[in-house]
Amino acid sequence: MITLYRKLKIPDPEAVTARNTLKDYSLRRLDKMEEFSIDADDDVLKSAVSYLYNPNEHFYLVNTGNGTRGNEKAFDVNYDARIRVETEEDPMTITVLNVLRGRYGHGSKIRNVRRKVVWGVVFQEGETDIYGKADEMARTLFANPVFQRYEVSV
Amino acid sequence: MPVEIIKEIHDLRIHGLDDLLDEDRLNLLYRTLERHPTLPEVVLFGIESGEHCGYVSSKRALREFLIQPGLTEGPNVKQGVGEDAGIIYFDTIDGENHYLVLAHESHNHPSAVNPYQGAATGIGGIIRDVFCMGGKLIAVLDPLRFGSPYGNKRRETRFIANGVAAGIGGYANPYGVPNLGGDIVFDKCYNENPLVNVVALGIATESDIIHSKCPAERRGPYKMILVGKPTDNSGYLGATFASVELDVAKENLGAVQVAEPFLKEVLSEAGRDVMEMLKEEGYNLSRDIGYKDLGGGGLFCGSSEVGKGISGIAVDFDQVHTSMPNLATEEIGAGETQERYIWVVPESVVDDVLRIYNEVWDLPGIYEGARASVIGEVTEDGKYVVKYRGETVIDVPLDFVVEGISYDREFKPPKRNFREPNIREPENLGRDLLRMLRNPNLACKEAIFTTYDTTVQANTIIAPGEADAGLLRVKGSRKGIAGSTDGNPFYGRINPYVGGASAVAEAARNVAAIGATPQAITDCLNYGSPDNPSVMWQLREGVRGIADASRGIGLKGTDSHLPIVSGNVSLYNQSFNRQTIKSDPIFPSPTIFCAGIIDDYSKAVTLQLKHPGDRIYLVGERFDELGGSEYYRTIHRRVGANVPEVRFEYERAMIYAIIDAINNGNANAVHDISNGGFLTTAAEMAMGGRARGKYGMEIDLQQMKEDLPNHKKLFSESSGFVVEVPQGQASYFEKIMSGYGINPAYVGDVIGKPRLVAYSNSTALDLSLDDMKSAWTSGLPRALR
Amino acid sequence: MYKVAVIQFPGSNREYELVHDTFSSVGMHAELFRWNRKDTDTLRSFDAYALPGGFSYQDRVRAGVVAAKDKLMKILAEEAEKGKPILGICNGCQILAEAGLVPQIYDNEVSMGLAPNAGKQNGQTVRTGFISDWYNMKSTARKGRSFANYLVEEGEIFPVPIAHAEGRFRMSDEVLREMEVNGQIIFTYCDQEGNVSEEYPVNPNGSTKSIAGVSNKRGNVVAIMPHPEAANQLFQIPLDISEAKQEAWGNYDKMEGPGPTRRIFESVRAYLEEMK
Repeated sequence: MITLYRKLKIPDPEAVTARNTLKDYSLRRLDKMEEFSIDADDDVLKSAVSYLYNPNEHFYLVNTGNGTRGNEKAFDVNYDARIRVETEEDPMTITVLNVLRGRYGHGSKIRNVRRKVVWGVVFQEGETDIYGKADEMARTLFANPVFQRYEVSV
Repeated sequence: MPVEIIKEIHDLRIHGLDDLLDEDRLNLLYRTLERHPTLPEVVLFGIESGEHCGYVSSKRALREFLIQPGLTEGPNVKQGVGEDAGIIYFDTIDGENHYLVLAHESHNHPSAVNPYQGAATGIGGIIRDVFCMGGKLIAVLDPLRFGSPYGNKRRETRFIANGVAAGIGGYANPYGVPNLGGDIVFDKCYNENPLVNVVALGIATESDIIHSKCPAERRGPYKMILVGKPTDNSGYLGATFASVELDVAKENLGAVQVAEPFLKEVLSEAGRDVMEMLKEEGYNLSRDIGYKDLGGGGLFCGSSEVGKGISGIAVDFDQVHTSMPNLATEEIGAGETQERYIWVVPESVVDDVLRIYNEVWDLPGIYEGARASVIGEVTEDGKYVVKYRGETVIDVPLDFVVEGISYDREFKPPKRNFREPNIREPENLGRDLLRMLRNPNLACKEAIFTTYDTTVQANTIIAPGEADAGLLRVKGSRKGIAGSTDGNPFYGRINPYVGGASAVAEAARNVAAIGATPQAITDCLNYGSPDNPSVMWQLREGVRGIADASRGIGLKGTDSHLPIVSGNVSLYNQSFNRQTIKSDPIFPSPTIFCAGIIDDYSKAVTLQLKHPGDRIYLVGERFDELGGSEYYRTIHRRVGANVPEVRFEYERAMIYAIIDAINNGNANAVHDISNGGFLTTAAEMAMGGRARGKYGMEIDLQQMKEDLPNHKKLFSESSGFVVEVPQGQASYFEKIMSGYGINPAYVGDVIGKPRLVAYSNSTALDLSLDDMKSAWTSGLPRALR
Repeated sequence: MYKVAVIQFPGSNREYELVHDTFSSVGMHAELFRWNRKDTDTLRSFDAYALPGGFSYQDRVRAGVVAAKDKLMKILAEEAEKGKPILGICNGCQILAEAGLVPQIYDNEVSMGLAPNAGKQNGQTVRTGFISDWYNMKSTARKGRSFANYLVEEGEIFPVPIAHAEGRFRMSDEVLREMEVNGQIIFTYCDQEGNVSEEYPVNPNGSTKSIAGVSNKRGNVVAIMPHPEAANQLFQIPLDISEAKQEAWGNYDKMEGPGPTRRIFESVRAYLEEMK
């Protein structure tokens, strides 16, 4: 089981739009990245990772049991809060599983792939209600209450 | 920091730019300027004299075969080649002339590196080419070529194919332009070099048309305004991508641009408002305004080419809005940030233009850093001058730099040995046909085109898949706009001249098969590396074939040839193959787009069989021409030698006769014969383009009078049409055909049973519609999984 | 003449057909209203509103959610309170759901979502991603329940094109029950004969109970994922699924005439007439 983080090399346009939509919160910073949890046999993990990121487009970071590798610097940011959002029956993960199992031939060696969109937030200096505000942003924008789950960590 | 001076090639190497310019061109620049050039000047000249902007290797052939003989002009052509898109006459609606704007481009190398973004930015670019001529976008088409989905590069090929399809839809769908058609070919010659060609169509009235040039007659000072996305260094040197083989290019990762259809959509709305404002202010767009999109070669190419042959241009790079700090001059100039345009407008309207973009459409509010900025002006000194950070960093004669150069490349036909194979009569025709239908080259392409929006704008009459060409309506006109792309690389491989000629013939037949008259064509010439003399020979032969076909098929109703109004060249499509230790070019792969017009769109027909009892006619004699055929390739793994010739007189007669017959009401369904031959055509008509067909067909092989064994009659790819004619219309149909000297063969009937049956003395074939549909609709999904 | 405001967000792309063709075909006047216009009084002066298809804000974060937060939507909510019709098509449907204007089980709380497409067969997801193709939907509410089926008999079948990647109606069981009890499910995907099935390809995207279009409790806000405006004229229908189009060969006027979904737009006008 490993975790793969990936984010765009260029400023993420979704994060830019989201920050604009949240202008009442006066966020100092809002980033977006994706977190993939890959449950697979060790010998196919590398193949799965290479399918999921394109060095032309993404920075990546892989977190195995024994440490990390990748573009560490790109992910080295101190956020006030992180909001993780997962979509039920995410078709992207369904497609990834089909490709890794079928086209790549890994079959049952790939047990599961889950994806979460992670929003990293930095509030204005002196913001006291970090958890409350992050939760509110998650509820009103980042996650649809019917088919998406979210969790806030500060 | 003072600007860097380049004295010799070594200086370029330090910057990793030695692919950009060779010693000869550097010396040419030095002699022309009478001093050592600056680094930005070198980058500018390198890009302008490269393949993408300069057509350095192909210019001679294009001039010799197409331009000088006048094939790029015509009685219906308002604007031939020379600008971002071609313009032909469409119809007069409410007293105003309306025109079709056509553009055709490629984005091959970037799609190999990042399939989604490469394809998406390809679509973005072609849309811009039409929009900046004043055309309102009405359709896109996508001729695509991918590697083998079953070979040793299956993973890469499937990754690329899926990514490209996603990128095309990912851009065109949000932008809001429907896909009208396309074609896909798979072969291992494209394993390392996929081809992503794109076509865009637009509509413009006389007063909408705007040129991508600085106006020649100017009454007062003119300014240059840059609008759109803030400049960054993405795609920096992307244009040079086109001038090197892919392995070299891949090392320069980071060069693929990122697409933003949403921003383009907003820019289009704002751009249209600017055009309306200018019209209201009394300006004639065509005469008084310049508008150009920034594509290959970025700001350097865009801001200099507008002045070509007309004026000088002075630009201040400090005024260029950017999203990254501390960009170097050459990054600002050669970066290929998407979604940017430049306007060349009279000083008096500058404030209005800025207001429309920055306030009314609130560009900075919708997209961080996006805006309209005044970056330069038109001068009278014939120079291209760029200032940055207080210094003059570029000061060159404009015409010299944009004229580029052209190479006289050596060309020589290669020694090839193609032979016809010795093949026995098939034991099981039905099994062979099913195998062929399952092959992704013949299989139904709906798995891809149902991911492209085909109903946006609500003007689609015939959508992809339903017939050989798509058809669009234009409100207020009875006429319909038809379009189709084609190009068979398997013919090109054996005979590059036929590769070019047959591409034109097929695209024209596709348009005729729905009842529309071909009006103009555009081309994209995809070949290997021009340093290779046999590749140059292929290119020249291909262009010669296109030229002959243009004359041979002609513009119906006139004495004119069929004009070629826009085009693109993509070279260096070859990569070093580690296994064969050779650098193999792709097969000669010209793709052709044909635009057609039907006078009354209510008369168009599709290819699905309509009524049991109707007659089936075969138009177009079958010859022993299975070279490069689907049958040889899929069933026997052979290439063959006898490619289907293009018999120009005959081809023209068939096309014109079919158009007349359809518009006369003599045909219920028509399908052209190409890959897979007559039997595949017949099968597709029974299945229907979307596999919704209910009726079958019975074919009497003895009515196909050619002296050929059955499998050659059924699978020869000699050109032609298969037509469903109601009993009551048969004599009218035959009369129209004979008026053109054509003798169609009445070879069968539409039957109520859902089966495809062919017999001579005994039953040769008896397949159920369900079995055929099952093979045909599963072929592509299986190849892409 | 009744006036419809067609709201244009950055990224809307199916607004022009509504403005120039659809509403005028049933004798109504339609105008574009750009989202950032300051003249809100003008906005309030319209008789009805349409939110067109497209990719507002490029579907960033989630389709329709950014547009749903726009202050213009508050004005639309107020006008809806007065009983004015609001029609949301495709992206417009997503915007209405994310703004809580539909189904309005618990006031304007968001209780429904348009999840990514997941067409299913035997419990397996067989199709995901953007789909542009023709399907069938039928009216599954009593005639007159909403403005969209005001003149439409229950059970009437329409061929319609869809063009979306996030069209899967989802809601809690509780909300679904309420909607069913209230008759808020106006359109449901079905086959050519009108049989409803949740299996792909009858149900293209795995939508709960094969829902294609819903209304609020009052029936004056309707959110529908397929595009009835692209089946409003006969020429738009694929030849191979329309005998009427085949019979109209050579007849330009018939082709430009009414298509199968004309009655849906006639319903809008009839509703406005009644409300007067």
